[in-house]
Amino acid sequence: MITHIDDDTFKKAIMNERNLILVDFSARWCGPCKMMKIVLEQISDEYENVKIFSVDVEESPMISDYFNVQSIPTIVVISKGKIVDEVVGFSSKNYIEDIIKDNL
Amino acid sequence: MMERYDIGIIGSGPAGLSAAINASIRKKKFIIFGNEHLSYKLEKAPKINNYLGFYDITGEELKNKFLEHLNILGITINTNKINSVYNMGDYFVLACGEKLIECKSVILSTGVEQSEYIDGEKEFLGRGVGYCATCDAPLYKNKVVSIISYNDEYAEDAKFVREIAKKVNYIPMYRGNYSVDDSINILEDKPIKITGQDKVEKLILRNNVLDTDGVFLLKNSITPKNLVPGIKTINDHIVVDKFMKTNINGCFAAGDCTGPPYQFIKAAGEGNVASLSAIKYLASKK
Repeated sequence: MITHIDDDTFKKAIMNERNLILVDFSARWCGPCKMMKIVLEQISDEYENVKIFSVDVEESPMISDYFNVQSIPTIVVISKGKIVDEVVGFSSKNYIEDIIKDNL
Repeated sequence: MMERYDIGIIGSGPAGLSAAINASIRKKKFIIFGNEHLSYKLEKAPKINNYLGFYDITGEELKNKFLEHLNILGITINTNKINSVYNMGDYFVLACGEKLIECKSVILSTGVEQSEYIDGEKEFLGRGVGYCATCDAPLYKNKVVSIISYNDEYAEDAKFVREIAKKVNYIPMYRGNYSVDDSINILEDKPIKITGQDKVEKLILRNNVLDTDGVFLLKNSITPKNLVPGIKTINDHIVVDKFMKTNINGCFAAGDCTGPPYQFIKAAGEGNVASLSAIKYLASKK
């Protein structure tokens, strides 16, 4: 399951999460973001030890600025409280899985 | 549920047509995207002397022969323009604007266009440089955006960005009427360089220097890497093996987009191989 978070709920959600985290930055009208979401939903179903959050950049400009998101979709990968990778643009399931395996 | 094609072919030059003909003969459910000219390069060729069986033929005559062949087999070209191909794992999604088409396999036969990059364009890609203004617009709320536009159709994108950004500079790379309103700053100038530290800060034009947070390049042609995220290319040519397989499972490429020699008969041959490889791939998935 992908959990939607915003500027207000972001900090608490991240701090309380012990699994590997993927934060998906997207917007409602962005076509590549919609495709990315389908891939992330598959990953969410298959990887119990990965937590996926989604952020609407329009709704939550503070987190988007904090992570310096310049283009969407962007996926920020966080492990043990540190940013370990960032993926800009649509990426295939295989590509995301490789990143997950590198960081689990 | 959306119908899913066996093969989606992108491009209606000799490679794409040859792929379509083989897909048709093998009774696959396919869709081919292109235009009614089939191929501008073919249409404009004054003389072709090395296309087997058609000595001293003009490009226009050969194009008409191709059309006859398509008509006999009942193949029609879909003229929607594909903007992106998404690898979804077991299938592909071809996007043309808001419309999405699902295919089990894809053959790229998009031809080749020499694309010139502006100094700094590749360096700042994803760090203020982008190709989809409507996608990234929300990131530029109350910021300055510069749009380098190669077609008046993109004026709509500029208007959309203007609703969100503080200021929009519009640098048309074409001449004529510009369908943007007075709230957008039009600059008839030549882009030279994009500069900045960690992200875009300035767009240098021949006669102006613009302070800008983002630069969108809205081009007519799309490079393979931008069309198919994750595809492997060298010098903007798609890397293929002798079966026309790309690095993405189920995605094949044929014709000029795979690199020189840029010859019609080579393209047609590769289209044939790509189609047969796609059919083999489909059989392996059953």
